[in-house]
This record gives sequence, C-alpha cells and structure tokens, in this order.
Amino acid sequence: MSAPAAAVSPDGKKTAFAWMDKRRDGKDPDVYWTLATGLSISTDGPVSDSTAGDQNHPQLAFSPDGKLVYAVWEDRRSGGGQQIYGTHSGLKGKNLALSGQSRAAYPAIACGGEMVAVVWETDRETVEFAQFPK
Amino acid sequence: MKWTAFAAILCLAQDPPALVVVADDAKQPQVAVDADGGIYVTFLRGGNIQVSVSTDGGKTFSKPVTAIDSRGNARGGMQRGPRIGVDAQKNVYVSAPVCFDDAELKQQYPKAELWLAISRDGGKTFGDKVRINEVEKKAPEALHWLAVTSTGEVHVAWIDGRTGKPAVFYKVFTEAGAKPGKDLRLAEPVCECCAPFVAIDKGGNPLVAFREGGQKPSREIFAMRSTNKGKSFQAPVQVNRAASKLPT
Repeated sequence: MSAPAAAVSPDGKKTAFAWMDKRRDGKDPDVYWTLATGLSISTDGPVSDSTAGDQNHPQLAFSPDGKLVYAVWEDRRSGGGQQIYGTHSGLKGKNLALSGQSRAAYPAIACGGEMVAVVWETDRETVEFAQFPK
Repeated sequence: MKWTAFAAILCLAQDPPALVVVADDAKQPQVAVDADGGIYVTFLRGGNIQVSVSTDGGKTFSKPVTAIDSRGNARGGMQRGPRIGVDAQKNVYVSAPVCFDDAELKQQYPKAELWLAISRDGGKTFGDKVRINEVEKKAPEALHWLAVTSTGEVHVAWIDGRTGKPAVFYKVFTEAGAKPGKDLRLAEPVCECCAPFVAIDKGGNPLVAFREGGQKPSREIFAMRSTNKGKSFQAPVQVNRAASKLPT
C-alpha cells in the first residue's frame, strides 16, 4: 500500500507526518500532511496544491536547524505518468516539480549540512538525484 | 514598481533542478546525508543491495558498491527496497529484506529476513551482514524503516507476524551498530503491506508511524514516541484528523 512518513525536528519539539489519504472521494489517493508540536495534532490538509490525479508515497525531512520541513511525493496531476513534486513549510502551499521527462516514482529525501537531497527511480530503471531548489 | 513585479515573476518561475543519474539499472532508492553534505544512496541493482556516494554536492556519484551481496536474489516492488543512514563518523548503515535460504528461494514468494550491513569507511566497503529480526521466517516481506543517530545508534521498525497478526516490531543497535538490542513489539494489528516509518531527533529519541490493520472501513495513521531512546514507547496517537477511507 503506502508507508506513512514522519519527521522530527532535531530538538524533538516539532513533528511532521504525511500519508496517502482517500477522504476526498474514497477513490483517488491524495497526500495529506500535518505539522505539530510533539504529538498534539490539531489539523491536517493536502500537501499538494492540486488534487487532480493521484498523489502518493510521500517522504519528509526537517532541515538541520529545524526551521523547515520538506516534503516530496509522487504526483500524477498532469494525467500522464507520475512525476516527483516537493514543497517545504516556508513555501505556503506552493509546489515545485522536481523530476524530469521520465516517469518517476518512490521519492526519498534527506537533509544534512546545506544539502537537501532528493532521489527517485525512473521508468528507464535509473536512480536520479536532484538538490531541492533553494 | 515594474522592476518589483518583474523580480516577483522571476522568483516564482522555477528552474527545474539539475538532475544527476546516480545509477543505471537501479530502483527503489533511499538517501542519507551527513553533516558535511555528503550524499549516500542505496538501491536495488541486479538483485543486490548497492550504495553510491557523492562527496561533491551531488555533481557526481561513485561507482556502486555492494552493501549486501544477495546473490542476485534481492527483490523490491512498492516500498520494499533497502534503507540507509549515516552517523557523524560517516559510518554507513544499510538494511534490506533478503532471502538467503535456497529452499525458500524456490517458492514463488520466498520469505525474506531483515539484514543490516555497516561500512566503516564512508561507503567504500561493507562488513558482513547481521540479521535484524530475531525470529526467522516471520517477517516475510520485512517491510521496514531505519533511522540512525549522529552517535551511531541504529533504530529499525518492521512488520513481523510472529504473534499471528501483523505487528510493528522495533530494535535498537548501539555501539555504532555492533550491539543489537532485543526485539520489541510496539503495535498490532497493523497494515500488513504498509512499511512503518522511523524518525529520530538529535537526542536519539525515536518516533514511529504506522497504518493500523484489522477489518475496518478506514485504516488510520498512528504514531508512537519514545523518550528513552527506544527502550519503551508511549501509547499510540492517531495522526489523521478525518477518516482516511483506506479500507482493509
């Protein structure tokens, strides 16, 4: 099915979760996320600025200073093959397209130093890397 | 005024990030980054668990090396690939479900065990694998997650059926992965086909997320925290605020 994603800030005070969710119509999967203090979770919402098509397989990572949480996920909003999209908590809902021309799936993200690294697999059976745009 | 508007448009126009091919004939990647920005990517390639490293900010990646020699038998699909973490000493930790039992490999769906391999030289070479799950053949898909602290504690959560129901089990390796703790059962029943997730704070306290199981019209997301570095966990808390409508 689809693993939920979680992240915790370096100081342990903030948490973030993302998961595949079908609450909108019971059919098309969307990715929802929530940012919380500890496990005091009050709200959640779609991470994507478009719920067209399927969204799935999210991952999260906090920046090393704990100020931003990054999210990446598969997104089929264009109706064709899925691409990798991303956002962070400072972008106020804006999404960024991260992958290229190939169909892309199963993104993973990690932060360290100044690096925010994203990788995914493509339908050409390659593993690709991109740095999350600054 | 015009310049301000033009600048705003420039800020909103996104240049696609430069893409770099880490490895050909590879799938199911996961990534870790060290405190200096070194990038460590693991993936399935040729039925083996391999790792490639970048020390130049992702401009180039090393030729893949084998972390777990699976004799070509490692299988992926969905989120069943390897996981990776790195500590402050740049020890690299890779976990993966692999079956090494020749009789089992003749089955259509051979039961895997969950393995850990460690590199003490920044991902150039890996030592012998060790089994993570204590009870054999009870974690057939070994859907799992791994997280590593800067001081080298290795936290692993996986789906294990030893109790008769799919459960989240947990284990911590201390001493830079050299000393395994005991398997700890965290929750059951859980979704049998959803990997659990582990995240960890700087103090070494983990957070585990999972999707519940059982016969339900909507399986929800739960999380558990530990404040003693994974020795015990608080009761699970539901994460999603409305039914996720993912049935059994």
